[in-house]
Amino acid sequence: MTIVMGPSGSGKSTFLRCLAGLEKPRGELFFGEKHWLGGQGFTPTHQRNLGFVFQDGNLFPHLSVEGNLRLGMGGKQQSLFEWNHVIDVFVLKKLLDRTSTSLSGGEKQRVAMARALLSSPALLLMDEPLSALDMASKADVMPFIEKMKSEFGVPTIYVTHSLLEASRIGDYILLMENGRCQEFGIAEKIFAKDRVLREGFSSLVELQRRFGVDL
Amino acid sequence: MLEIVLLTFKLALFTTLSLVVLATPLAWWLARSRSWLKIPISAIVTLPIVLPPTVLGFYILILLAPDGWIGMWTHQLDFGPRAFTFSGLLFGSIIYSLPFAVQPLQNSFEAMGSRPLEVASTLGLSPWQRFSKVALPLAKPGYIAAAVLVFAHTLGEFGVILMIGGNIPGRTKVISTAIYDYVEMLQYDKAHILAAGLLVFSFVIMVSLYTFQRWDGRPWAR
Repeated sequence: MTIVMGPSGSGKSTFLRCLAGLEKPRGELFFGEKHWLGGQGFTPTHQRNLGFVFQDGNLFPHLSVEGNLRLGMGGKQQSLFEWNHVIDVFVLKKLLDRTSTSLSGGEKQRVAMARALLSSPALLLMDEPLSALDMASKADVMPFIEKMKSEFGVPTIYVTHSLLEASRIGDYILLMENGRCQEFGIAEKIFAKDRVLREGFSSLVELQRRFGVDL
Repeated sequence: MLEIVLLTFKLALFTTLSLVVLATPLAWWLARSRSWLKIPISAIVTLPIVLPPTVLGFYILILLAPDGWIGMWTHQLDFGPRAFTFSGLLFGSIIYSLPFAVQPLQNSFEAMGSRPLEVASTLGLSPWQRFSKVALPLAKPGYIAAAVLVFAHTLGEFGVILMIGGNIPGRTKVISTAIYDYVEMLQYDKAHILAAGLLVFSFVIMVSLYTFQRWDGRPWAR
């Protein structure tokens, strides 16, 4: 999991949108062997084999929870990940028949993550999936993100402002500023190298130890 | 009299069906495009609301005449709309009610924004699937509003019909023009039957539309 961090307006979300093909920038982009941008042209989003989890879930209001999940499978019976396994991991069994508008913010994000996984992505993009939630829901959803990482292991690029999210799930950190990559590397090394990050990180650990503050 | 009522409803039904299909790409384009053409096209689409029906009817009549831009083809090929026939009437109605179909659809497409379509594309849905499985169901309230308004508006059409239909019994005589004839002939009892019927019917469908919109949440779109 790669965490993208940086100040507001540093281009984190735009970076994700470019990867997804929702923006059409200049330049070149390879995904493995596939040439997504540049050269022969532009691979549109729906052919890019990726999943995208937006800030506010963005479930389709005209469909039930199950309808939302099925739509992600695009009419296919089989997905890269087994339906029941995904439902179990995100604890969605009881929610399947609910309308998507009746869910809480945290439940919506669980459905959104499950929906993205059921579309069999080779790459998962997550744009501040917890930022629209209140503290309690953040704490509720965080374990699901960790479980998603360990159960499915899809390479993920995760944009966040939160140092605690970064420290709990990040393997790599990419620091952005003014639309450019300022620093990229293994999370521990980046945390150790950058003085501000290091101090912020150690005071967070201290906070957590002394007051049980989570996230 | 039954013949007149049936013809009127046939015209309203055909106009509604045609416009729901024809207005969709137009409304979609108007909602999504950033082209400079959007302003003049919007203006043209709205013209039938502000123009007197006689102006509209007059130009449609000229278009459909044997030497008109459309008439020269339809007369040669023996196909398509002609003045003083049902197909000519249908053609006129479609133009006359176009804004009533385009506007609710355009509002719906604009209200949903681009996010649901972006989400659908990240889930691997092709442009056609995005339209049919996401945009269309989300725009359902807009489609219902468009259909009801076009239907009711076509029932109430008078000027355009008189200009291009000729008020021929059995072919182009509809309720609104029949009422005019009955009044001219001082047959008030017959005029009353048609007029009151249209009044009550129009009231009922407008009440149903507003009830539906209330029940379905926000009006026009969601």
